[in-house]
Amino acid sequence: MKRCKYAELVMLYFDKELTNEENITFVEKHLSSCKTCKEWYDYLKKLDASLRSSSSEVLTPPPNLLVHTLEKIDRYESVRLEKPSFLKWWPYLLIPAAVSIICIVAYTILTSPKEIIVKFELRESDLPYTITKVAVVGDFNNWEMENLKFVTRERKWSLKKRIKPGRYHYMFVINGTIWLPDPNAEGYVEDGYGNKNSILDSNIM
Amino acid sequence: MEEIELIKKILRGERELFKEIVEKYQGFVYNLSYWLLKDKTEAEDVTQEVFTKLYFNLKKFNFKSTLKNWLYKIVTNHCKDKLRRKKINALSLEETSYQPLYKMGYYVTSNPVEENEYYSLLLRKYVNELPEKYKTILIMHYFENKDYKEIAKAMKIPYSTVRVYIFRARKVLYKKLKHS
Repeated sequence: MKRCKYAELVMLYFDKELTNEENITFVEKHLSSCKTCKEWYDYLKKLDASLRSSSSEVLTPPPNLLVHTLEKIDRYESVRLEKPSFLKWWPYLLIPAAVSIICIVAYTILTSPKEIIVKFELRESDLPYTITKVAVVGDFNNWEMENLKFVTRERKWSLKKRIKPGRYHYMFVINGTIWLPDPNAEGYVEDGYGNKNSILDSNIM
Repeated sequence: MEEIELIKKILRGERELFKEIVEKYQGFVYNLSYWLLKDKTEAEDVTQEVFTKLYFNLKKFNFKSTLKNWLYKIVTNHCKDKLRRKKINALSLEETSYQPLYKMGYYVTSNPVEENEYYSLLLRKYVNELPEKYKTILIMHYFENKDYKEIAKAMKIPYSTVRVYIFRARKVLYKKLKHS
């Protein structure tokens, strides 16, 4: 249904919100001629009849309503207070838990020995034979060969390695077959098979 | 001012003062619930529940508004479910056969009392489904018999806004009734 542009004016007239006499006369006249607005006006009347509360309808609350309401609140409050207290304070348990975790982690980090970098080097001139490959084997790598790289400019074989501080035995393996102690080692020790192992000691370094 | 002081005191721990709030507003809450539900027992239940809700949510009170306006919101929201359930109970009987009769509230059957009741509840349900801003204003107008100026003052909004909202709310209701 299309609404007349005066619908709002009709509503104001109905609600007695129109103060201008001219407007009132206009709406009254309009209502007699506009079917849509008449229907709208009747609807407003109907709404009023159904929704508007008359002063005679005002109810006095039942005498015990106040008491019942307050009792209900009390009941709820006591239930709330009786809630297993654990439910209330368990979040606080997280604080000591978090603190201890942080402490443990910090302790581990701070006390664990930091790795150090050591450099294994073998100069070409240190050995009489032609070297094609040099590897280092020792306690720090379970005696498995790790190849050194050849630095052309300095004519030497070299490898930087990250290891935990400590005392290690090691040897160089030349061309994959010849085992030799490091000529520049800090010290040597008999390996029990008639050979000498080189010694690497981080405390001396 | 006094009311705000009272709420602040309650929030500070003087819980027993809440009784004063219940005393002051129980009539309003009870009557508004009754106005919406047309059932005294339900109105009583709603009143108790609304004040319980208010008590435990008092710290959320917006001090710029008034307690009464807030109660409007709590009561109407609380009645939403109840009205929805009511509709099922009331209409499951002969919903379809009633349908055409209620358009615009013209009743032509043999039991006008029952139908009037039905229409009245349906209308209240529709009113309660209106957007929040229209709803409170329209209910104030009908339930408290407030004119536009009084509503504007109570809601702290301009007169013209009240006029527009009431107009829109009624248009929405008109459409809903026509199509129900």
